[in-house]
Amino acid sequence: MGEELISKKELLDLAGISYGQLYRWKRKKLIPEEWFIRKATFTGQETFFPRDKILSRIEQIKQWKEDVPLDELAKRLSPAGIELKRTGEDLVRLGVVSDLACRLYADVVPNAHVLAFRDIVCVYLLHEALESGQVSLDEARQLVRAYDRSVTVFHDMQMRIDLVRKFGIGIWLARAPNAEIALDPQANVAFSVDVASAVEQLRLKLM
Amino acid sequence: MPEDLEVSGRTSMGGGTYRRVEVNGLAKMLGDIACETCEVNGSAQVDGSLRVEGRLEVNGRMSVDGPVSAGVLEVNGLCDVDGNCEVAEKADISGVVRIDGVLRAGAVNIGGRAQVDGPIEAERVHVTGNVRCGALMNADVIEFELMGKSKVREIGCTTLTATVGSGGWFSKPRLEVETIEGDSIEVEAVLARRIRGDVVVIGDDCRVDRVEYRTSFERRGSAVVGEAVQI
Repeated sequence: MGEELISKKELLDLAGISYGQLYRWKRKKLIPEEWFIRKATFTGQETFFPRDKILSRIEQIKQWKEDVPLDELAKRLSPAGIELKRTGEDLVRLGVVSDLACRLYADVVPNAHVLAFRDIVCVYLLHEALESGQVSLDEARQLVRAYDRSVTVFHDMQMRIDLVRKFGIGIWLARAPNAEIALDPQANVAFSVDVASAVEQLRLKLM
Repeated sequence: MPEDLEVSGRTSMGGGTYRRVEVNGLAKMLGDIACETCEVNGSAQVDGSLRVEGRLEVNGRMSVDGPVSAGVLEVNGLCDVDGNCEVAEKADISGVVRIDGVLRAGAVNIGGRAQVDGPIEAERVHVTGNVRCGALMNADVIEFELMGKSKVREIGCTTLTATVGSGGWFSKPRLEVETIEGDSIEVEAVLARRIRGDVVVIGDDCRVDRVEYRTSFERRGSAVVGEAVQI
């Protein structure tokens, strides 16, 4: 994929951390194994990381490590969905989602009172979409259905959801985070969200 | 309430949940075992996983065809694990251990011989015996008192010290490793391709192709260093 990589040496310089810290965080599973990418270079094998992901992760760790023990932090950052249930009212009260997003979701899924994490993600995406001001109420309703179908296709919520609009008609599109799409020149992307990073933000808000 | 299990003769049985397991004879267990403590003085074979909440002590021989987890691990005999080995606190290896997967523990002490195909992860690793590790050895503090030959593919740590241990004149003490990365590195008798660190001291009897250091670098005695670069 066309993801920009950063070498370990550069990373340590840029983030201002030591080998010891990097290895400790790896040991505590704060940095996922998949991010350690080995590549042959002229000086032998070197380790690279996906640049944006690792830099934002390290910022996050640095910010949190003062108040939160590393083991607890590892739990919060783990890619596996967390076991968590909340009612819609709870989410509004916690300020995670707007009242409108919550009501809209209840419209489409009338008998959902207690939401599992997967559904909470949906409400959160709905909230983000409405907040952006680029998505109409009707399109937002369609997002709920689109999400429900696409979430089973992509593993671990590793996906990006776009709203593509042409002549005022919007359709939702789900794709792998780095998959390229070529659009009809008359169409435009009205709203786009990376679900994996939305999940990460959401998780930090809920815990 | 789980019961105690004591095998004195020779038996073959299924798995199960027990309080205290003691094998003095010869036991073959076909299935997963969960218990509070386990002591093997004879010979035990487990076809399944072994989960010990407290202390797992192997004085005889044990082979497990599956993952092992324990609170504390002590091996004075022979222990063969076909899977990962997770120890909550301390793993004390005075005998011989072979692990097919990861060895993860709070602290690892290797006085005997350990062959680990996967990574070794711990807060502290102390080696006075021999170790062979086919992947990354990742720990906060790593100490080698070298006796004979040890081989580790990669080392990542905060502090690494390797010194030549006293005694043992059968084979030359030596630690072979491809890459070492750490904050503070002080080694003797190490054969390495690359060493990267903040403060690096390469001592007697070392051969290192390339050293990359940040703050300081020192070469002592008969060390051979291909090139040393400050970055």
